[in-house]
Amino acid sequence: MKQKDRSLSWTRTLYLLVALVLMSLALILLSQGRALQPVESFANTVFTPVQHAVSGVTSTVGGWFTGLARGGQLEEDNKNLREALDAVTAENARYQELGIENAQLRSMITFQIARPETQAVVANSIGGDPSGLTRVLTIDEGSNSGIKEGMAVTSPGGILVGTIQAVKSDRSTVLLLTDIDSKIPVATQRSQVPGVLEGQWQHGGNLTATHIPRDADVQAGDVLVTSGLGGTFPKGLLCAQMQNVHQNDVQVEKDGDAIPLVDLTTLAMVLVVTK
Amino acid sequence: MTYIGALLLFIFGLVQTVVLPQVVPLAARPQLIVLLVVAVCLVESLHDAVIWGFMGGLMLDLMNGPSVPLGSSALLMVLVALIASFGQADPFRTLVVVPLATVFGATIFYNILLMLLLFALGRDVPFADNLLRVALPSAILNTILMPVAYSAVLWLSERMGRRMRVEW
Repeated sequence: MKQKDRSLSWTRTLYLLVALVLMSLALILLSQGRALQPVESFANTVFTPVQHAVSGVTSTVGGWFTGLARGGQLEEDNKNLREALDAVTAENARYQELGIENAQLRSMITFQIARPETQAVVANSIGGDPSGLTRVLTIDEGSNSGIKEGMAVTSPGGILVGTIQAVKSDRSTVLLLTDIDSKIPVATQRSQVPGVLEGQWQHGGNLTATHIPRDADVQAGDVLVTSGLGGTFPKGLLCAQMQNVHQNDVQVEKDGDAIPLVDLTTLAMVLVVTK
Repeated sequence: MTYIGALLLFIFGLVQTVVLPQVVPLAARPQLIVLLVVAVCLVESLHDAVIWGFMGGLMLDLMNGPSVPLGSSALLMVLVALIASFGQADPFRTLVVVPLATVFGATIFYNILLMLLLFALGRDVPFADNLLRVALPSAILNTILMPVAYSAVLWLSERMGRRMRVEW
């Protein structure tokens, strides 16, 4: 009798397991076909305000923890950035003397002033990747605000932080620059040498600038801006700064490490460039 | 599943999707829903665990951005519950190491499934790096947290009259 009960219980569990697996698969298929949009929108209206409130509290705490964990690295970063800042300041002075500052500095002043022709949607960060396998940000604006996949996402100051990876009606996922899937066509601001900025976070790094022509004039401290190639991004958005350049006699191209110009771990608000 | 279970999953989902990505600056972080599902599976039954897994996965899917399709975390968590049921091989719960080994294995299993899912979605997935930098440390964190989760689920279970008291 007891054995029969146990067998019945196992059969029941097995049926439940199969039913839930099938239900999950059905949800995945329906979700891909956007048939579940109303359900997801309803869930978003319930969850987003809560996530927003919690995010507001934890982003402050998070910044503190990040600073604590990266104390040693921050000191080194600070030193590097100060040196780079000196180099950039000197460079700017030279540009002024040469009379070509206007075009170069347009991308360095605040986003709205520099780009009156562009339109951007302001969005708030309401979460990140729960697994830690990818470097993404969840924001509280989606296709209802005109956001589409592939659009550029910047910090409030207009520095590129990533691209829109996926969109739902009222929330989107931003693929941050440092994710391994992120590949942005860039050029050095000083010498307009083209390259590709690739994320290296999953490999334990920040960014790598690749496909730089072997004989091109690229130096540590060079600022990288979007090149506009491919037409996906506006041209001239500030992205990163070169830390070093690697070159050997065999390769036809050279590459180098770069660091983002903004701290991607503490982004609370971003701009999505919609036009 | 009771309202307490739903509330727990909501809170854990919120912590997993909002708090941990902002507060923990490292790639590795505890996988709280995995932890809860394994604990429920060991304290209660596979039957309960698959329901908790499905609901917890759905909660993650709804709170997360649209980078993975709705239902995918639910599917993974149901499979995690199934894997965790191997930990029920010690019916008298005498071996402390069994829950620890189960949650360690289940967390690794979850991360591998997630990597396969991302790969299937066309993402660039560095399997070896992710295993070393994310899956393994997350599994260790979950193993450290398991005694707390197990005791909490056991306590809840007793309060609701589901099991006899079992000491850790």
